[in-house]
Amino acid sequence: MIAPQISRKSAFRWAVVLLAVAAASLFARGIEVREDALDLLPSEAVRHDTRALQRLGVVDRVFVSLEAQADPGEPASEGPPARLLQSCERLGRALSRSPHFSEVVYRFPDATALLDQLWSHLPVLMSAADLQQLEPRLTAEAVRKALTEDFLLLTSPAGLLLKEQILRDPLAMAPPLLHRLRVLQGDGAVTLRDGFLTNRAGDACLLWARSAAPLTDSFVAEEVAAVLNQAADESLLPGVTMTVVGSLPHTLSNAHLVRHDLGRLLPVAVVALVVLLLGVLRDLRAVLVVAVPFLAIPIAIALLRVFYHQVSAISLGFGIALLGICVDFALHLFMALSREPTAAALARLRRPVALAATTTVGVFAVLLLSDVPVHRQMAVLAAGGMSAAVAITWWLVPTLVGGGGAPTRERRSRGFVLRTGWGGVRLAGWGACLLLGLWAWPHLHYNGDLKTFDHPTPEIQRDEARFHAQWETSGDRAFLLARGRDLPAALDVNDEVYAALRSRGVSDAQSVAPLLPGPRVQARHRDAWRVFWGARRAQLTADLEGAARELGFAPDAFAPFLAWLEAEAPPLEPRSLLASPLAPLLGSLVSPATGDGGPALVATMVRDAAIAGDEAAALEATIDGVRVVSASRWRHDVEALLKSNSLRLSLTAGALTLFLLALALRRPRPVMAASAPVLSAVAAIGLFGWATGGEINPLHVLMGVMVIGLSVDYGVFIVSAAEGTDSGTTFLAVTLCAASTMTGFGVLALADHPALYTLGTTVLAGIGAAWVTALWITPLLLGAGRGDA
Amino acid sequence: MIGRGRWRWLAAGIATLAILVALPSRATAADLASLLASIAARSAGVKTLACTVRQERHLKVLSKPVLFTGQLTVEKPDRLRLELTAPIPSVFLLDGSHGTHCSGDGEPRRFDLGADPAMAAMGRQMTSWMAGDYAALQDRYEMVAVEPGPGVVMTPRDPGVARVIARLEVLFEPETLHPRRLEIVEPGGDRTVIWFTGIVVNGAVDQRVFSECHPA
Repeated sequence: MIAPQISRKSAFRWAVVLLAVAAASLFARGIEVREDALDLLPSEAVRHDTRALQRLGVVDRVFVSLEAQADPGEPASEGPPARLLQSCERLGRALSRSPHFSEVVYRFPDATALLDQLWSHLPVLMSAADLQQLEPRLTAEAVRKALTEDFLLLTSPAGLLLKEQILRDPLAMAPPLLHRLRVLQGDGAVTLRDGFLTNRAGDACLLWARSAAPLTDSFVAEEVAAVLNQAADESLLPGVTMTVVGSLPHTLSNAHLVRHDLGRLLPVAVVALVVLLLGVLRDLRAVLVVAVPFLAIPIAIALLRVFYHQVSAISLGFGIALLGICVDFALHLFMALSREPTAAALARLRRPVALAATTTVGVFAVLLLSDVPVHRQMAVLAAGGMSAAVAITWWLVPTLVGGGGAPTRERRSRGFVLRTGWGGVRLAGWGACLLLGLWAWPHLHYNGDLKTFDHPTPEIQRDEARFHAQWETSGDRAFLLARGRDLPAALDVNDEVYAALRSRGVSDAQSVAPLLPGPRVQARHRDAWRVFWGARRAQLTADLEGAARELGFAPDAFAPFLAWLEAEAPPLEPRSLLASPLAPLLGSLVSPATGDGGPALVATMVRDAAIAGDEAAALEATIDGVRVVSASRWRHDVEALLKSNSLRLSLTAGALTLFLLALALRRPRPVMAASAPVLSAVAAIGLFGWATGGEINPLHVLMGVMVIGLSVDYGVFIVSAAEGTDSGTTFLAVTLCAASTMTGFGVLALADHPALYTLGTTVLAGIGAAWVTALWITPLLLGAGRGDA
Repeated sequence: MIGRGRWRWLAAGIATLAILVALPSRATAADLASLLASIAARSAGVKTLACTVRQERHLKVLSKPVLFTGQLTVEKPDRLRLELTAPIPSVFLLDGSHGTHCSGDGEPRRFDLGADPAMAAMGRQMTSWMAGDYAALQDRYEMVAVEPGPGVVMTPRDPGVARVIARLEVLFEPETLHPRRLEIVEPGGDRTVIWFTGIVVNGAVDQRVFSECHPA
């Protein structure tokens, strides 16, 4: 009757777990997963800066350069080939129609239309200095000369187009405004030809488009690339080729490489793991047992959903990988249950499993204190998931492996470590390794630049070099972000930024300030205009009417102009300019306040070198509401923040682990012995980093957490085994756990992608050192007599 | 007094006359195609064209119409010089992507046709009007052949061009099919009439005329 009772008990356990897993799966389905590299960044300030750049479309803009290949049969012409401009227009129109792009710039607006737009706002656009420059053009002689030119222009073919402009503005005050459009174009040698942006040589045409969804998401990038390629296939005329630069090719290249690496290496890892387990344990149930902890994945994700509606794909992936640690508990249980009665095996393992699980969950929980959102999400996922996984493993594995089962291979290998001698040499070697690690860590450079994980193909590098040469663009850009509760307030700040840059001799800033000043500057200009014309209007009216009469103009030909001079100038509303043909150009520099309370943003772009050194800090100190985001400064800030964050977390995790070990093991020697694998792992990661270039990055830190979690478990199990009644399975179990982890993750050291490579090498170095230490050093630290018995 | 019956006869007579007047003034599509083909055949060999012009500009903002005389030189595909010599000398140049207007001793006024697509389109079309590339203009203008002619009335399809030109009428010399008279009617009613005489096709043209702006 016992067997059916156990069977019913097992069935009950499985039913409860599977029901919980099903319920959790249903609940977890509502979670929203996103790919956003920003979640890897520390500090709300840095994320704000980067989000601001995203709002302005800096990250999600695709730059397309079309190039006309030389055609020997084509007649030589001064300008760019017609097929190039036609291709540019066709592609621009095709992209404009696509819902995948929110703004497409391929042709500058008609100058006449722009003048029509800006003309009525001339009084708020012209400064007192601009007005002073008009002075020489207001003498009677100058007015007569201007009207003569107007008369001749009106009667020339150009008069057909310029008639309205001439009558509206007989003194030609507005055309200089068009020069201000240059400040919207930024650096690089862009020439307008028929409204298209062409390079100096006239063999390339530039257009850019902003993706409607973030291009840092590889799925979005795939879609956008497909749309772009199809549009190019349908739009480009023969002999015209396309080069795409921006974040799109990088996202695609990285996604393809990761996919290629995983496709190549994962099957190898899975096969190697299965072969390892079956080869060592000679029991098919082992494969089933190691799968048990993964039943906790839906429960962990459901728990995550309780705290976060939207989670990062990065934290989800890493968090689930961390749950893989629980495989170790399943293996310990399996090996103990395979050779001991169930009750005895569970009684022996209860303490080490509880202690190992507590220390590991504690290490993960420390990540809740991190400044990095991904770390916090991982902490919830891994700590919660691991608790569930340990419980499920403890509950279900005994239902799969009955106590005192068939003898397995491990019996024959019992005690293979315990017989090893040379304790002094081993301790000396270990001490030397720790000292080397202690020396290596301060010599490491912490590289927080996310570009570390970027793997552009040679083709992308070639395209970018060609693009920079073709368009004569400079390197990194700096963004001076003016913030305000609304757009007018942000424009006021932007005016101060522009004036400060001009006073510092920066003349090539890309800014909206000359075309869209804020209310304060507009009011100043309007006052200057009123004063200027108030003193000159009467004389100008007399001179203008006299000259007009003399030249044969009708008596009221310029009456609208004179009335306009007298009228109150309307303010230039940002909304009207943002709805004008200039909108796509302004969109990259202006972003109104968001509905959710986000401030209005106005950006000014300059060469990074233009505000090098303390210039950025000086600007921020003198102008309220401005933030300078430059590539070099950003990298420096992110690195400093990540470094301090990592140091704080590591120290906290170390202290917590020591505290928990001390609480459980009470005496210094076992605590030291259990901690030894962790110390070795940390030293090995440092040494490996030093030997392979002297850098560590955020992924080293992430994987370091996992390695520490595993290493402390090795120490705990070995200490428990050595202090208690060793079943003879622990040493082999620890070896198998380490071997399986190094097989599963270690193959990633063969990956081409830098991020996967980092994962693989960190695990190999850390786990390799922890494993050797757990088997060879931990017993020694507990007491050489016991270890070498 | 005119009786009711007479009114009927008079009305019928006026209607008939109107139809008779209207009928010959608009030729058929076949006539247009034939005319354009003839002009195209003639223009195929035209590389340059020079002539004397007389221009009459009727503008509401001027007290009275202004009459100019001068010289026009055109080189396909996109170069043009219009030099008006009387009453006030001035020169208007189109050269590829640039336009220039000069008068007196003042600074030339330059137009960047690259930054002004409407001006660029107009520039290209002006040379087409003169050099006879009407086939190229057919997708930009609604065309109707007019009688007595030969001639073509063109109404722009492009709203950008329609903003400044309501209608164009070109009359050709029957023998040579060179333009004889061009009338440009603007939306507000302003109009320009240009007469061309002494046309020389493919004569020697000093290239400097397209770059030297100031009037002689």
